[in-house]
Amino acid sequence: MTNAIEVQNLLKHLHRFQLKDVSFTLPKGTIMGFVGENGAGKTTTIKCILDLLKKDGGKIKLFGKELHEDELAIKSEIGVVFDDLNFPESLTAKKISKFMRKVYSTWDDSYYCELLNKLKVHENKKLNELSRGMKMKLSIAIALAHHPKLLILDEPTSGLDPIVRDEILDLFLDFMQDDEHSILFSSHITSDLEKIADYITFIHEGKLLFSESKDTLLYDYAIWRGTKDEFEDLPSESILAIREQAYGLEVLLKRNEVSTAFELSQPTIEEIMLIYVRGVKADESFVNERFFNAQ
Amino acid sequence: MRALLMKDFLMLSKQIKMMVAIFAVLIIISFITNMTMVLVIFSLIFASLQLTTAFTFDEMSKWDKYANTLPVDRKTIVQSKYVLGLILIASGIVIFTPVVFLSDEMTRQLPFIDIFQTIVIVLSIALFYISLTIPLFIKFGTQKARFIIFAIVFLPVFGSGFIQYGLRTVGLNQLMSYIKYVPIAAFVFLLLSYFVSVKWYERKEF
Repeated sequence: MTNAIEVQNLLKHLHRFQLKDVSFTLPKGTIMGFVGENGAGKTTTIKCILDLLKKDGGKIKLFGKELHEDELAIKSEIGVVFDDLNFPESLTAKKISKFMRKVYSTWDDSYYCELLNKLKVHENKKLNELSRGMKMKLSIAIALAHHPKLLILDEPTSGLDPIVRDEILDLFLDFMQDDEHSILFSSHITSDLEKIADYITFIHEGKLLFSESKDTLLYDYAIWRGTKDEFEDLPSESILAIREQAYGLEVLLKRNEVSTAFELSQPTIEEIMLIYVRGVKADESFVNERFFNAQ
Repeated sequence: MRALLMKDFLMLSKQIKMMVAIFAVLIIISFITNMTMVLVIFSLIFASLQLTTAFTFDEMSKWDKYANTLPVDRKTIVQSKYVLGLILIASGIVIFTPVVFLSDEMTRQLPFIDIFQTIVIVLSIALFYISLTIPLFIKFGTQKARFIIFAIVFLPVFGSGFIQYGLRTVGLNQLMSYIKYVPIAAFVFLLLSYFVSVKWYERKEF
């Protein structure tokens, strides 16, 4: 099975920021949620995948091929949605379809109209008269109208109300009915990702913290809360990250490496994100230090 | 390519309609005042203005970021802007040249060859202008490029000093004989400009 996206050791230097060694794989037929705080490197990674930014190192493959090998064919299989509708404001939804049908040989006018009707987007209103929610819905309709195999979405739901977000997520689930289809979906609204993603890839300060299946995260990871004294009883190798709270410590750990005697709770993606970002990641040096302290 | 041009014309449709209305009035005035030649110059100013507007609209909506996710070559995106400029210039010439000749037929002010020469010179200047602006817009964006263009366009004002010098030393007839090289120079400059634009656009990050 080929993968929709493969990123290997991606490196990119920007002014005062760099992506370091980012690697992940999006298998065909799945949705990957790409999370991280603002400025963590989500958009930079997506721009590198699309060659909007030139990478400084590493390899990126789409449908098993590097972009330069067959750029136009690969790009015609992709639909892209950015956090804004990047069409000149004097256009209308109808005018957009007039030239987009010449961009994609597979552009489907009737499907485009069907989507606009379904999402209640006015065909003849100028873009500057549309609300943000309407613009995003139009943007998604445009991305879907040529029947792409891969959707790349950069914060498509940020700034939208829960009802519009739900409508949009339903569209994505419809799109996933075909098991050749895949989605890479960046967002910091983690509840959206919990609803639809199969994989969660988490980037922080330009580095990848993990890329795991959602079920692994939600069922194999656990959160333990307690005082510093109680914390000493937790096995070192089970600990992934620790965050200090007013009441004591909040610890992210591997569920199956801890005795059932400890009271554990199931984490949400948001909690995992917060513990990693606001707390300390437990790496080898942490484990050693703890071991020596104990001695 | 056709898709990109269509997008530009759809985007500019309101501006173009407004300009057509203004031209209708100008044609009438120029007939009354016997100054139809001004129309040709005006149409070329209009063409360069529309091209700048197209770049500004694209920039405001960050269109190029999106355009580069479409199955379109970077080269084609650059080409489409040159073709847009050429179409705008050509349509100005095609619409107004007959008007100029018609009015001249009625008044018989200037010989044909003089009118033709003037139109060729004005056309060459227009080609120079788009050849200068497109690469600068691509490299610096419309805001910064505007200042650079402003500075460069004003250089010929100082250049007029050289022309006066040329008139004194070479003589008017000799100088006029060089005029036939102006369109060739414009064409060479256009080609050069295109290659520079492609190079700059291909390196650009969005």
